[in-house]
This record gives sequence, structure tokens and C-alpha cells, in this order.
Amino acid sequence: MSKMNIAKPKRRTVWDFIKQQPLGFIGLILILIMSIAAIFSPEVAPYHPEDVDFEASPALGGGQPSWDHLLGADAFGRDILSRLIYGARTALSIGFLSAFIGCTVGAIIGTTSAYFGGKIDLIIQRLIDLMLSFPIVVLAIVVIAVFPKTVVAGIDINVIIAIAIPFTPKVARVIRSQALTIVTLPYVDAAKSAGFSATRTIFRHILPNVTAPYLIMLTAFIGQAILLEASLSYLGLGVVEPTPSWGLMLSGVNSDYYRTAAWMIIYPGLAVSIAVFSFNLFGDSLRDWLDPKLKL
Amino acid sequence: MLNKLTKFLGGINMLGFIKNLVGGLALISFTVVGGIANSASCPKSGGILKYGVKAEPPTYDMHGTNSYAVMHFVAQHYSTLLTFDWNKFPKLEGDVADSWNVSSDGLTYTFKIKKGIKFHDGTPLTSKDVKATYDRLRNPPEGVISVRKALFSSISGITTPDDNTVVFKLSSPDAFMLDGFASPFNAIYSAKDIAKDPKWHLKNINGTGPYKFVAHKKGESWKAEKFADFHHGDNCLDGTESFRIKKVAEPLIGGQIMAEWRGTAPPERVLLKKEMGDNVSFQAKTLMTLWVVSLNSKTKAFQNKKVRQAINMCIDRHTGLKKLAKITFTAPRPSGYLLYDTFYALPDEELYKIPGFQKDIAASRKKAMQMLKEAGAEGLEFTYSNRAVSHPYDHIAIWLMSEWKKCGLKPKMITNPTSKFVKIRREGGFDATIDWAPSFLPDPTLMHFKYISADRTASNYSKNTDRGLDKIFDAQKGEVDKNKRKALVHEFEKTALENAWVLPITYTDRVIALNSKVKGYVIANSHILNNTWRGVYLD
Repeated sequence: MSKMNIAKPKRRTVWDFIKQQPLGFIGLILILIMSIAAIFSPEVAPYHPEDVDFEASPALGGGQPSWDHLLGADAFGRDILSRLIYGARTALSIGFLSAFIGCTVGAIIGTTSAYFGGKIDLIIQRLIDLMLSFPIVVLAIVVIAVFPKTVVAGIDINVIIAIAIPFTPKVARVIRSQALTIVTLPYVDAAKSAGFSATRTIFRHILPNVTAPYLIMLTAFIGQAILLEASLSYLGLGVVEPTPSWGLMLSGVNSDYYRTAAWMIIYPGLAVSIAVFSFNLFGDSLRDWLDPKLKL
Repeated sequence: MLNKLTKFLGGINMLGFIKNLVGGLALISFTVVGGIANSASCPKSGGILKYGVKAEPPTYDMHGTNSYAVMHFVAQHYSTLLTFDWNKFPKLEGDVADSWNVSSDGLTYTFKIKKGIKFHDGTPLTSKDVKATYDRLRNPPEGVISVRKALFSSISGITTPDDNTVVFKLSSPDAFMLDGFASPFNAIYSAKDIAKDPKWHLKNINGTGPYKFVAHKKGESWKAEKFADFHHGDNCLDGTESFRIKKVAEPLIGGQIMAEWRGTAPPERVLLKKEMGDNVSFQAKTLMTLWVVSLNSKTKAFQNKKVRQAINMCIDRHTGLKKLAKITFTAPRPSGYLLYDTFYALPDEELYKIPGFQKDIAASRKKAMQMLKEAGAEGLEFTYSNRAVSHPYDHIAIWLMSEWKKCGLKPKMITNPTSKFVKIRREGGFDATIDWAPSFLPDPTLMHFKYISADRTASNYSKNTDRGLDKIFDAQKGEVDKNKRKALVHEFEKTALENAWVLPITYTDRVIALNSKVKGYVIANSHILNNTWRGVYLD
């Protein structure tokens, strides 16, 4: 009896990702740079972000980008580069945590809805429809108005929840559609026949099989969360002074100088744009790379 | 007979006689007689004055509010008993009052009301309207709020001997009383309207002011037209139109508005000057709103006077305030509780001896750190409650955080929207909080009211008790001799500043921007003053 020669699928490496998705790789590099800046802020930043130096304020004739302040200084003479570097902490921590919470809760709701079907699915889907009918910023503003402000380890939990909640229905809808095909597969039937609880079946057998869309949405939503955090801070609803935050740097104290000291808002604006662009590039590339239909 | 008279006159020194006569009259009755109001002065007439207001009026009732928005929209429709001469502020002059006098014991105030004043509905104004107004102010009917009721608590009765005379009787002398009659909030209402419904003025307007109410589109605009029968006759415009705005610079540059009366921040001024050139003019005065930091008496560390003083001593008022004033609308120099350079204020040389106000900041901080060490409060952590408003709250907060950190203190700034900030301040959920003491007059009773014991004033957010201070406050309030009162006021200032429960930070610089077409306006020391647009014209 001759041995069947089945070709093993080729294990793809990071190098393959770089070759196949060069833009995604650039996004990844930018994300890594931001992450390093955020983690090592005290070592990397030339100044403490809250150090006030009136002499460097544009209102007193200073503040222009120079060797002392590479990206200039704000109204209080605070170094903009340092505030951008520390601001990466705020952006990434809020961005990652809110995207993680929103996507994870959304994935659980989506799979639960698909698993039970029937009336439960119907009720969950109508609630999701209701939530999706609100623009994302409006929903976040409502959440901020309803929940009390809670700061844990310097992170505003209220802002994280406000950003996470609007993501939840979007993720739940996508994950449900994926899970609907999985619940019909034999191994799920087998799990049910073996008497496994719904919780075990959902967490052990369905959720691991929706990891690909989950990861893609997670990366995409980190970028959106950073943008939303910046929007909320810009509206005065997110992070507040003196915490360095890119959105806050675009508004509040700095907005008075948009014509006379434009550097105060150009660089934070660029930081937000680059961060969102990086996560979107990486997320899109990851989606293409993980999608079996698009495999080269 | 003639000879006898000549002999008599020749026997006395005429000059001395006149001096004695004048002096005697002054002694018999401390009489203040107001001059006839300024005659109408309109170099040009006509046009509509368009201006911006950053807030919506919560009510139309001037008696029930402290809101500047009400002043900026509503004050133009009313007159008051007295008003100020804006060129010689705080000199008083009559508004509906023609003249007035105060008895030598300070217990009787008699006002003569001008004849021929009309309300906008055509009915004449008499002393009965003044009485009804002040009865409503000092003893508001159920459901009516009178914010300044306490200021008129010493009035025991009001009588109207005739249609043009009103007499106020006081139970005890009150040094503030005469100025109180000029408060811009004490608009004269018609007795008929009050009798009709005590709450009528919450939603309706009928005054004797220069401009007559036309329309109010909530959140949008307010229109008024010239009142032809205005008793001063110096309403030079055809009308006014005011708009709700968010920022000053853009609508002023765009020509939507010609003025904003609250004030502009330094960067806005730079922008306006750059964009409008000679088409914009500025008027500046120190605003009688003092920014203070209240320290919570429930915070254990702050119960130690040395700690409170040390916190105050870490703030570099002399150089820091000059710089802060370049980026927001704070005044560039240190101040006690009373506005500097005013009659009752502590002179600089005395103020600068008090801990926290000394010029040598290095020595002050060194001593502060020593005091903190002795009190076991080195590196003290405390919360600082801030209001989520950029100018000047964020600016003051960021500066103070940086100053305190220079002494090794660890303040934690907590910023909340207005409603939550106000709740925290009222309920004492802070260690230190930004706070403010607004006033329309440099009067010690008005300005010191905040710092007496918490069981006597709702505006003491430190919630401390100091009976000694209360005693000094009451003594100055009842002292009608200006110099004696001044000495008591200085004693109050020194005691309160050394106790350091409330740390005065700085007054406010009020710089308003006007389109150069707007003429005839004189800026006052408060944005709640001079809001009737009398004498304002368009060139």
C-alpha cells in the first residue's frame, strides 16, 4: 500500500507578512515605535510633560520649535514633544483597553446570540440594532454623562467604558455572523450531545474559532478608539488637564493659538492621524493575511 | 433797624460764620445730595448695537440671580434707585432718585424720586413702585427668590409720604446700605406688576430703562428697541440685538457682533488685533472677581495652620502672576481679599509682610518646606478640585500645580464639569478647590462676607469657624466712620490671610473688545456693571 503524500500547509512567517503586506508592516513598525515611546516615556521624553516654563510660552514670545523644544512649547511653555510622548501612553492605554473590552464583550454577545438563536437571538439583535442607530460619538457622550467619573491608576475608566460600549454592537454583529456557521458544525453538535454546558461550548468551542475576525476588529478598533478618545478630550469630555493627551492638546488651552502658534496643534493632530493610520494599515493587512480566500 | 443789623454783622467774622454754618449743617445731618443725572449726551443717534453673550439667562428676574448673562440681556430694560458715575466709580449718582439724604444716626435714608418717569407700558413710576420693589427684595413672597435678601436685612420699614418720596428706616447703621441701593441687580419693578403676580418678572419685562424688550429667541438672540420716554434721554441707539456666542474673536472678526462685555483672553486679543487692526478697540479694568483657593477644614493636614501657611508660601505671586496674566485674564499682581489700590484694601507694604505674599520666593519656599517638615507634612498629597473651563480655571490650576510641586507637595488635580464641580465644592468633597469671590463694589461687607464662619455664610467652602473674625466683620459692618472702618477691615484682612483657610490668588483683568464703531461706553470694574448701554452710540 503506497503512502499518501499529503503536502503539509506551509507555515507562514513574519517575513512572509513583510513580503506580502509591506504597508501593514510599516503600520506595525509605527505601532511599535509608539508603544516603546509610551512604555519608556520618562527615559525618552526630554522634559516632564507637566513642567511649566512661562519663558518658553508663545504668549511671552517663546515656544517656537528650537533645539530646546524640538516641536515647540505650548501656552505654559510645556514641551510639546514630551507631551506627545507621554500622550502616547494615554492614547494607547485607553485605545487598547477600550477596544479590548468592547471587542471581547461584543464577541461573547455575538457567539451567545448565535448559539442560542430563537427569541434570545431576536432580542439581542434588536438591541444591537438600537445601539447601532446612534452615532458612535453621541453614544460615547451619553455613556460619559450617565456613568460617574472613576480614575484607576491614572486611567479614566469612564472614558474607556464610553469608548468600549459603542464598539460592542458592531463586533457582536460581525462575530454572530461568523458564529452562525460554526454552531452548525459537527463538533459543536458533539459538544452539545456530550452534555457540555452552554458556557463551556461557547468559550471552548465557538469563541476560539472566531479569533481571526476578533483580532482584525481589535486592531481596527484600537485606531478608532484613539480617535474617539481624542474627539472626547477635544470636546472636554475625555482626559482633562494636566494629563498629556493628544486630543486635549488640540483643544482647551492650545486652541487659542491656532493662528499665532500653529505648531501647538499641528503635531498633536499629526500624532492622532499617524496612530489611526498605523492601526488601520496593520488591521487591514492582518485581515488580508488571515483571510484564506486572499492567501497567495 | 438797619443800623442794628449792620452792627451785628460787623461784629462777626463773616468767613468764619459761613464755615461754621456749613460745618454745623454737616454735623446736624450727614447729608448726601445727589446731583441731577447727567443730561442727555448722544453725539450720534441711531443704529442697532449687536453684541455677544456667552451664556443664556436662566431667568428674567434681576432680583433672583447673580448671573452676568441676565445683566447683559436684561439690565438695559430697567432702572435702579441709584447708580454709579462710571467716570468716577464708585461715586454714586441718582437713577430714578433725584436726590437723597442719610440721617446723622445712619438709620433713615430718604430719597426724592424724579417726576415724569414712565414704565415701558406707559404707567408712571412713583415711590410706591420703589417700596414694592424693595419689599420684594428684602421679604420675597413665597416662590420668589431674592438672592441679595441678606444685604437688606437691616431695613426695618419703608414708607412713602408722597408719590415722590420714599423713606427707608434701618434697625442698625449699615455702612454698605447706600451702595446697595446702586446694585445693578435691584431693578425697579412696577408695583402693579408685582401685585398682579409676584412671579410675573420671572418671564416678563416692564421697566423704565433705556431700551424696551422686543423678543427673546432662547439660545439664539435677544432684541430691544429704543424707549422714547427714557428719563435720562441718553439712549442713543435705535435698539440692540444680542446673540448667544461661544467664542468672542470669530464673530467679532466676522462682523456678526460689535462687542462682548465679559472680557477676552490675551491670545484672543492678539488674534483680534492681527485680524481687525484699527477696527477693534480695547478697554481694560481690573474686575472685582477674586480667584481664591479654599482649603477644606475637614482635611486633617489642613487643620494645622502651619501646613496651610506653607501651601500659601509656595506660590510665587510676584513673578508668576505677571506671567500668568499674559496667557489668561488674571491680574498681574498679588492681592489680599480686597481689590488692591481701593480705599479699604491693605497697602502693599503691609500685605507683603504676610506669609505667602513675601517677595523673596526662594526664602519663602525654604521656610515653607521647613514648616511642612515640622508639621510632618513633607510631600503632602492632596486633591485640587478644578472646574472644566479653560480660562482661567485650567490656567490657574496648571500654574498652581507647578508651584506646589516646587515645594515637594503632591497635589492631584481633579477636573469636573461645572455641575459636578459645584456639587463637590458644596458637599466638601475636596482637599483644596478653586473658588471665586465676585463683587460689584470694593466694599468690605460684600467682599469679606465669604470668609466669616461657615454657619453664617453659605459661600464659605472651607467650612471653618472663626468667631474672632466674625466679631471684626460685624464691627466694620456697623461702623459708619470710614477711617475707623478701614482699621477694622485691615485687622480682618491680616487675621484671615494669616489663618490661610482661603488663599487669595489674584483678581481678574477685564479687557473687552469693541468694534471701533462702538463709542461712548465706559468699562467698569465688573462685568455686571454698566450694562444698560446708556450713552453708547455708533460712529
